[in-house]
Amino acid sequence: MALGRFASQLEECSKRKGRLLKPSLSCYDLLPAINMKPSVLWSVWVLGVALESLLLVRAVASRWWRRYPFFFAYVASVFVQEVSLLVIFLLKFKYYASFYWYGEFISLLIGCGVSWEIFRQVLGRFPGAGRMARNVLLFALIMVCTKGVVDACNGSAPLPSTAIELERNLRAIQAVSLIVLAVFATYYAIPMGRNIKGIFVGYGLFIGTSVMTLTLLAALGETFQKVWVFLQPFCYAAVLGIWCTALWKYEDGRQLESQAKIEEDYQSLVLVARKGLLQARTFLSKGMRP
Amino acid sequence: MIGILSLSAVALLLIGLLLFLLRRSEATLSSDLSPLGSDDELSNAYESFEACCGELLDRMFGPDDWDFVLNCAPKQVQRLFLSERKELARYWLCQVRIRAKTAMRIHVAHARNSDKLEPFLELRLAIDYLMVRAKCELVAAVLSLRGPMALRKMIKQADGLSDQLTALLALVSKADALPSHTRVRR
Repeated sequence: MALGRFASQLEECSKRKGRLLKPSLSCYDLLPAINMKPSVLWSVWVLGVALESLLLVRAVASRWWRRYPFFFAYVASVFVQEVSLLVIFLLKFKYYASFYWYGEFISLLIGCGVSWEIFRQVLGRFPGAGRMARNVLLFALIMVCTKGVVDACNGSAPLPSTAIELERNLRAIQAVSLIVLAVFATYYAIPMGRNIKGIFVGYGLFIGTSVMTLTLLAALGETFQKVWVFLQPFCYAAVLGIWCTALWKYEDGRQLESQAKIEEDYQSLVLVARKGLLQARTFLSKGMRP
Repeated sequence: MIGILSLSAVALLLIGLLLFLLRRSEATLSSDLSPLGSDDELSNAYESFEACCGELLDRMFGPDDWDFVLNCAPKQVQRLFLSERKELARYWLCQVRIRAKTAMRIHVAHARNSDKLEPFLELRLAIDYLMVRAKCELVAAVLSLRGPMALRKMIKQADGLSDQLTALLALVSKADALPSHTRVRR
């Protein structure tokens, strides 16, 4: 009852101000833009804030937030942002847009820290795979940045002119780094603990959906706006669900690779693998040729 | 448009990879960490597999049995023979796949801990593995479309074609290399 009344109040407020709010992770804005009951979106917003508080309380109470400082700083910053945005929306609307974009870029910066933390946690214990991933990542980033600069100089793809385009490009760079990590984790079958796997998958899905939605938003504009305000909060709520499930119990996954510390000569490893592949190829040839 | 497509591809690739990682079982990964077998063990396993397979492969893919069944048995038996041979060939292919996969699994499970990892060697191994897998898929496609007896025939035909093409290319290159005054005037 109270929720519904508050949601209607928000709707009236945004109507009175005569324009729509800037889209954010929160879903209380742009309510009139879609044909949904305001209370549904408001409930998703409340659910998001509740899940974020649950994550933070759990991490602080069990003191294992120190293991993933950037991740919890990120969750805390989003939580503070959402609550303050609500207050600004109700009391000082004229500051909303600037506050929203500043907040968005702060969380983008902390997000880079989260990506670094995921890299460190996943590949930190595997020096060989870690070195390979760093080299490939550096190469990919140099290629992406060079292409961006060359395109901007040629005039074929101008520098981002709006905050949405800038955010999209920065998120895309993060997405590339997470792709590199995911490829190496898959190829080298890196064992991951439940916690870091949850953080990685949740954050990666958030980045992936953000790149997708921001790309479509920058390209289609108003047409996609209605879908975006619906998609964004639901995606974020799903990501929070993944984080809550994965981070409910502490488990860092070190026991998964404790047996793997036997030192082996790399060249002999390569020889054994080559021999195995050669055998497989010989079997194939025997079947194919008499 | 290219920008939108490439950004969407990046996003979809990331989502796909993460869903794959999410479904991956960590228990199966730790089973890959068993210590490497000695070189002798691997060689013995290879020799025993080779010994039992050499003769079988000739029977399975050779034309002798099929010619006999084709001449002496009714259609129903021919169909049964074909389907059983197909099953056997699939099992053999499965063994080859497992062998290649095991070699790579053991390698990556141990190499990821080594700080002397060499990118080019790793890339070469990955390409080798992909080539074996691609060959397996090709053989699987031929097996399911034409059956095991057709495999060697097709390879023979492909070899013949490749020989003809090589001879043709050699002829063309010779003709190009001839000096202009030795050519016949029209």
